[in-house]
Amino acid sequence: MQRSRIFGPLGLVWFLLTLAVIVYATRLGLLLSPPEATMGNVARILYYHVPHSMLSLVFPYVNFGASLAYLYWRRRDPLKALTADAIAISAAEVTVVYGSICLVTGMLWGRVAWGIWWTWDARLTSMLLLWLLYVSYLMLRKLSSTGQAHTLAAVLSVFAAIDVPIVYMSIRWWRTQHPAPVFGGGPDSGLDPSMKPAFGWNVLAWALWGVFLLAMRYALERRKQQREQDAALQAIEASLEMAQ
Amino acid sequence: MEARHLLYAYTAVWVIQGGYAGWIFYQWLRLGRNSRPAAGANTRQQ
Repeated sequence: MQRSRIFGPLGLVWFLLTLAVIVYATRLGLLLSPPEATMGNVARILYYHVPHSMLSLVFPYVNFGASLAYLYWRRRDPLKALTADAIAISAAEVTVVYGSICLVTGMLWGRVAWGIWWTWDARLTSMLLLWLLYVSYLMLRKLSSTGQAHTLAAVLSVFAAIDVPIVYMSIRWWRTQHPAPVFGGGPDSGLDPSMKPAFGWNVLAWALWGVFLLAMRYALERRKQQREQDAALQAIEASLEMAQ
Repeated sequence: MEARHLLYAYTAVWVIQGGYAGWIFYQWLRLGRNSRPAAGANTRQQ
């Protein structure tokens, strides 16, 4: 099995570039963009909340694709299945991280904007459900003592991915406490042009960071798999020596 | 109230993101240390 090279020169360049973009985007969002017309400075939470929310709906599909690949390869080519499995768990963890930030920043913003920390409207409830599904995926991987944990988790992820379009469409299908769509929400929707640069740079920044996290976690998982294989080979060699 | 919630939100993001990245890096280092054979281990090949 080839070792991952994420901590090589490319990984370092990506990390430094990502940090620079995050710093620039945060400066734009916190200092340079104007306060929002109705909510003032607290609306700057938007520059972190919305990119994380958007990306929390992207990484589940990475997990979904990798899980499908794992289910396909697990009997045909175990080495490819291991690669797919490593990508799947990496994407699931990043989904939980981004989903957690979406929920936490959303509650903080909602407390100021609506006067409440939480309400059971369609957007918030479906997003919480998505978060719980991926937390349960990780718990299944971590706590299951059967040899089928990875297969069961892959099947779970196929169903968890069904929630993603429900989360996305919830503010279009139902009347919700959560604001109506800003992008693609009709003739009166859209972001003020003065806010677009900060928003765009923050989406880019957190997308770059998410890819970096995914790659780091993938490298870690591959290293764990390598250690497990080495340990299994050592055990086999030891038992062969004892048998002689 | 507004400034405090904005500060909490941005801090929460940095804590969660930085915490997760730090955990990955710590696990990476720990796996690297544990890969070395223990002292006195039998590494004789057949």
